Amino acid sequence: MRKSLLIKIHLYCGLFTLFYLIAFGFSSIILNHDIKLEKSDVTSSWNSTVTIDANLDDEDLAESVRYQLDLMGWTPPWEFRKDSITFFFKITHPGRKYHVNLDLTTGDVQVGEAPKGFLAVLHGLHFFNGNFPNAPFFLRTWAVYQWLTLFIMFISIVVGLWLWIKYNYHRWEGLVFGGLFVASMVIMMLI
Amino acid sequence: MKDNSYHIFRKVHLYASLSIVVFLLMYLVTSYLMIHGDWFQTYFHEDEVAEIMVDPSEISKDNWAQFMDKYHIRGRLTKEHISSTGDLQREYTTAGKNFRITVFKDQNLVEIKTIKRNTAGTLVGFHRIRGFGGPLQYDLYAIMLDLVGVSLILFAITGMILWLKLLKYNLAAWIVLISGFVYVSAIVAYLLIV
Repeated sequence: MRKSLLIKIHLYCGLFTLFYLIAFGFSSIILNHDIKLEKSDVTSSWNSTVTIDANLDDEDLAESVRYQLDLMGWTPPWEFRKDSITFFFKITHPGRKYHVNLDLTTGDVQVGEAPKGFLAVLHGLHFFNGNFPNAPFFLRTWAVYQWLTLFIMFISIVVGLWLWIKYNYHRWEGLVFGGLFVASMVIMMLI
Repeated sequence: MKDNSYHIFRKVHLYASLSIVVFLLMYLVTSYLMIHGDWFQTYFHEDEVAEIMVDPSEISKDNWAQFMDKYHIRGRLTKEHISSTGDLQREYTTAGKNFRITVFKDQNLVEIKTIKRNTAGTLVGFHRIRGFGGPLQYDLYAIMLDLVGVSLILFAITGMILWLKLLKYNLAAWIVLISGFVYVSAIVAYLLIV
């Protein structure tokens, strides 16, 4: 295969995965240092009314309310707080948290919105697979992008290594980075 | 004729990628395993629970390392808290195992729960382990992870600079770059707004 073609394959693959790599590089450092980026302040709130099915358990009730409010995200059960009059729960996705206060006697709901912020969203892409309850089709396409990116990144690495070995290989680079390769493997074996 | 900065960026691009090849390959494989966790049963694990009577001095702060050695507890401390009943709970994590230790309050009793992951789960464990603190190899691993983060960013940015220097009038490359940017930005914007 001609060198220019290999360079183009490497380049297109690289450009396709560019923003993903930057987001993951950033996110890896954040995770490694356990830095909290998520904002938690409620910045706005609004009210609505929903119908309550008394036969539902807490999890199903939270999901029913989420559906009626047309909100997307998970409803973590460990955030549920319930008494005879009110049911408090949260709906969360990588960009926002909703604090939902449901009046069980009237069906009135008060929703507080807590945006997590740009950096938290960028970081959240690390864990996001495009799939959470009520997510629209557009967000679900992320799973395809993620899969394609992995595949393309693999091609990019293989082609890049091939170009290096075939056209630009220096013995000292092979020794240094070969050594680093082995050292990394040894560290992995030890953990 | 290409300027000198082209060669510098090319070297940075090359070395940034070469230094993290093992990690890039590991992340590629483990990301795939995580995306298809159900296929590979990455969440499958076998648990072993042992309850041990101990002398209080055995589990004192000074003797904790010996206690860990004696019961073959390894890994990095990843969780520590006091339960509502006053029991001390600690969790140590390796790539393949978790050790959940409960020191029951006012009893000379310690429970050690060993959670063993399968091969796929162990590989995913390499992906999940992070952070400083603990035995030396975990600190070395954390240093490598920082290197991975910085290298990924450098690798991507220098790659773009090289492209601008080499093929900036290539329409197809612009289309690939801009469509990637617009797509990722649209996802981020959607998550921020909705």
